Amino acid sequence: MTDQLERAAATAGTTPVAAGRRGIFPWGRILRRLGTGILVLWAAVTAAFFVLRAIPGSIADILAGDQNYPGLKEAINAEWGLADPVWLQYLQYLGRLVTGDLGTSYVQRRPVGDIIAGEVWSTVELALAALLLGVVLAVALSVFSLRRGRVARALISTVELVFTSVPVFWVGILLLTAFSFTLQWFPVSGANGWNSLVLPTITLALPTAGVLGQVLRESMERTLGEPFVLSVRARGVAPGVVLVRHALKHALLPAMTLAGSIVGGLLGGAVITETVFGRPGLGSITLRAVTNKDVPVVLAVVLFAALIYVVVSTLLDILYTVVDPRLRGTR
Amino acid sequence: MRHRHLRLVLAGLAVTLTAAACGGNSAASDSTPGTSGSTAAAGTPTDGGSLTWGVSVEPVCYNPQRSGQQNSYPIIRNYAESLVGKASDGSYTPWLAQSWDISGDGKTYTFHLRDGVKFSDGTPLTAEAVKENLDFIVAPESTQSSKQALVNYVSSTAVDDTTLEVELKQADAATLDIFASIGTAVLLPASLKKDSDLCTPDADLIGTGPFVLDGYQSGQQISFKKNPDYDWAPGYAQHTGPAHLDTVTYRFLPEATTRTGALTSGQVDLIEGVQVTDTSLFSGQSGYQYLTGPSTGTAFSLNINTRIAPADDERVRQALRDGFDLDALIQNQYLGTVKRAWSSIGPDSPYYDKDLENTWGNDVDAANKLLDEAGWTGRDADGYRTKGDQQLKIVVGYPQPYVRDQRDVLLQAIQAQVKQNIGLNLDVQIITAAAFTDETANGTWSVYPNTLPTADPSLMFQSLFSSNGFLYVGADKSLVLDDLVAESRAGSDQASRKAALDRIQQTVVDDARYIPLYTPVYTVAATDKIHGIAFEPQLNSPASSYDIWKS
Repeated sequence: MTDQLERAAATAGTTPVAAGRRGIFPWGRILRRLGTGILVLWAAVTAAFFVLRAIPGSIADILAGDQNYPGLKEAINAEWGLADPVWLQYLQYLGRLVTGDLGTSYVQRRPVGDIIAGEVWSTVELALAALLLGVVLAVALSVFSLRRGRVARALISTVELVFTSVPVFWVGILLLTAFSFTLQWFPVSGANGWNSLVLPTITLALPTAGVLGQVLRESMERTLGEPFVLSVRARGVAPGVVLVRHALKHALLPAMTLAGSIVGGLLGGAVITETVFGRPGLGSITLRAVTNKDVPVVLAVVLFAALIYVVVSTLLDILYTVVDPRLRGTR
Repeated sequence: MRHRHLRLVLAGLAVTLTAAACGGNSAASDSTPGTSGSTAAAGTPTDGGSLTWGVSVEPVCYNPQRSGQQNSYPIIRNYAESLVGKASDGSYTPWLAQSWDISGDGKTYTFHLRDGVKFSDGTPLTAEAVKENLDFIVAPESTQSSKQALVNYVSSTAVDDTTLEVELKQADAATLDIFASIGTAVLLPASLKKDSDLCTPDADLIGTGPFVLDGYQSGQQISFKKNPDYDWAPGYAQHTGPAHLDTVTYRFLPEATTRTGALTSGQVDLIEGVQVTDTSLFSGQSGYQYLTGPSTGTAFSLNINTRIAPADDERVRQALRDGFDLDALIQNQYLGTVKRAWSSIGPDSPYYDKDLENTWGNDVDAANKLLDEAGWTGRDADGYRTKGDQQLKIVVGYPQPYVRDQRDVLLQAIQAQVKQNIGLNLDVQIITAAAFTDETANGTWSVYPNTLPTADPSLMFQSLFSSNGFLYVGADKSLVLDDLVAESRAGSDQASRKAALDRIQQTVVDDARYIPLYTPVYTVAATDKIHGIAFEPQLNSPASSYDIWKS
């Protein structure tokens, strides 16, 4: 992520980069990225595996819970292969992982793949919808606030600040009270159809819109102060076109970088949103797995989170070159 | 109007007759205070319709023999049934077994199964099927939760299709309770043999209950449809034959405010786990009803490890027990929705020791005197008592997953009072479940705040106060009550059993290894169109949806 931030920062300035012409997609870099991506996944899952073993409390003890009778711990150890040396368990886990087997949940006692697959789309759907709405709101807020009077701008920046700082939990309850309990426009819970997605999406999108909006406006303002904008205007280009084609486009790089890291935050923020709205999803799975030390599920969630980061950062790399032609040909 | 009166009277008569017929039990709710509207049939039950619950917890595992989660039982009871039913007065009623005989030495139980009971796939229930279930639970490689209750089980024999003989190692007074528990519910033997744990609600999870699985969306809801052939309701039920409702859906709404809003906006018909501050929205309000379940399990309590200083000194524990005004704290926080506890068993259990009432608590002078005697006479800069350079400090480790109903807030209120009243530093910490497990395995836990799911009192006391429990694993015999617990379990007649259980209740409060705080109850709120809501005494939780009907 850091090299993207640096690069984004560098390109957001005015450093000219030699422009080669080798096509929009930097295939070599994408392949290299995939290679490092696999390394990242391996490192994440390995670290998580050993950290989970190092936390106090043996897995057999936790699975036993309030139960205690002769032979229980031995039966649990035998059931899950927990008596083997840790390195052997690790190698077995990796072996299964390579074949696509994520193991079986200790607590729910069904394949981890099924558990994740059963609920992950509801979270992805929510996160994507929230990201989309967040970006749209952010662009609208920042474009609207530019070239306005001091009062209007102060107002909008206050709105953004409120969006960023109110707790997701509270917004969710507020929206539910107004639009579900009182007006009854939307159902309180579930993941059936578009209308059950509306309130959770708004809840999750507001903080994203707040943060993105601030960044967008700042860099648009900076761009509008650049000398080239003056020459564009001098050619008689309409102010709206200047705003969208030039200022907004220049502001996109830092905003994209930020949006990339927000995707991870959206998955995290989904935990609370899902609880308030009683939605299925990765959030509730993770919460349950962590509190019960359901190791196979926790490892799968770690793997999934790492995968999202790898995919998003690879996509961003490609998008940078699409948005900013100066980057094509570098490296 | 006259007509309606007549119907009410008739209905009341019917209820009385039914109650008399099955041993004097009726809806558990009318025996409990705080109930603002009995659900005893106000009119003739109508069949049909669908019902939606808003429940607080999605079961982690749907297999009755494996689940240890009390909140899962009201859902599981819709499809899983036991040999014996347990009525609200503590008596046992027929269910899958229509009767049973107990041998003179108390070691052989012969169950006579009801004729014509079928699993929901049409397979008849036989004694052999029950035997296969029991053998499956106690198999050496089994890790089923219910295995613990069956420690005295030796073997069982299917004498014929409807007669099952169960052999025990020794007489065990908890036996009928164990066969009334959800852990020994009978599942289709063919499903048990499949290589599956039956934790996921799918086509393999087959029982004999009044409802059959209809749909399941993990993290969202589970729904059932009625089994039209069902005709073997437990003796304590309010009716016989198939369920009234056509379908019933349980929606998982973990956030209490959301549940309340879902009910007030008509998106669900009834909710469980009403938060204290929302009680007034339903209790005594027209259009709604608010019900509380019985309390027969352990209290929410402080279990104090008698092996860890300074609480290894009985006087220190007693000072803590009496160093705060429990009545006022409970009233302040729970606004009269729960009762302050006096003993380790709930007041609705037939084994509750009423003599403990008004014998302890809120005696600050005596508490201070005890601490003076114990040598905690110094004071440090923060106002805490000291002995030498030691501060009078007791750590409470509350495992995070078990924190609910603002119980952490209650502990903090006690913390503040004992600091001011007796200079004791009650250090309340929220710890991880893993850390707690580690502490119990090593015996280093200090104070464990908890409630056990209700069960036979001997089983609950074995968990808490014996070296066979999870708190005192392998503890020195002088510290635990193994003999008393064994005596209470072996007691053949009710009176000698009660005497042994009374002695345990008194011992643990007298030496303050156990400080009861309040008696938790299940709460239910519903619209007034919902009738027949009941609580199952074996679980204290809402019963299955079998008796519920809509008007």
